[in-house]
Amino acid sequence: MSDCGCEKARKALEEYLHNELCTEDATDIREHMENCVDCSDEHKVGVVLSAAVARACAETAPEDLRSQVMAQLRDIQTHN
Amino acid sequence: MFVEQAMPLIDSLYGHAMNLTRNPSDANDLVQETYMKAFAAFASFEQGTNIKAWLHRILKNTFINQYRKAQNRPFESALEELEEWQIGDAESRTAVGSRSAEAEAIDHLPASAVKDALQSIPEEFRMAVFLADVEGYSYQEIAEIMETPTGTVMSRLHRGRRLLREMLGEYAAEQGIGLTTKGAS
Repeated sequence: MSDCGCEKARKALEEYLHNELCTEDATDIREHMENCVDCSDEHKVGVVLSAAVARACAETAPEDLRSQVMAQLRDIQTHN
Repeated sequence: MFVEQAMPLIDSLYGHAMNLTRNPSDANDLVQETYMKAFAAFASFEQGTNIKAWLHRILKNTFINQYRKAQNRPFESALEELEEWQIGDAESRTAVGSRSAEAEAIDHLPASAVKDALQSIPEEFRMAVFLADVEGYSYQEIAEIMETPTGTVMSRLHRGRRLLREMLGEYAAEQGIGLTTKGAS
């Protein structure tokens, strides 16, 4: 097992986080992080940041909007 | 057919609309217009391709054409105003000290602070971050929605997340959220 090093890991961390790496590259990054506290902490910040954004932005469409859209669609369909 | 495919996506479209317009009333209008336009154009939608990305693209274009026109600001201007050096490097000037402290702090921030920070970053960055981190889109799908090359998506995403991280770090330090106090390093 060869370590890909911090430089490669840092460059690829965001793509790793978003599941954009091929299996091979993802394995390299994972293996590097097992032995590198700095990079795995950096990755943790990324994970927490994504989760914080997802939490803050989760939205449910208001019921009114749902029924308005449905009514409008019905309207168009009956007129065509 | 349209209703069955498009209506389950209303939460996701509303989230995107909120992210762009930043207020519920405009988001409502934007979602309604998106559905009407999509319905009218549904014949041109290629069945079997990604309807979610197609709807998000219509929403984005509707937003640019109508709401941005009203605000009298071209879509791309915000990006050009922000030079790379102004964004800085979050790693080198994190306000919260160590990375584990930073992660801890971000994890404990109130949602309102995260939302405020997100709403203050340039729109192109905000959209990329939203589509990747909230909607879980792939870079390729985001490129389709934003109608930009994948490389541009990566750069917007990276810069947006870096800005966000920096702002949240500063906020956490100001509020005393996190393990280390400001000035300890």
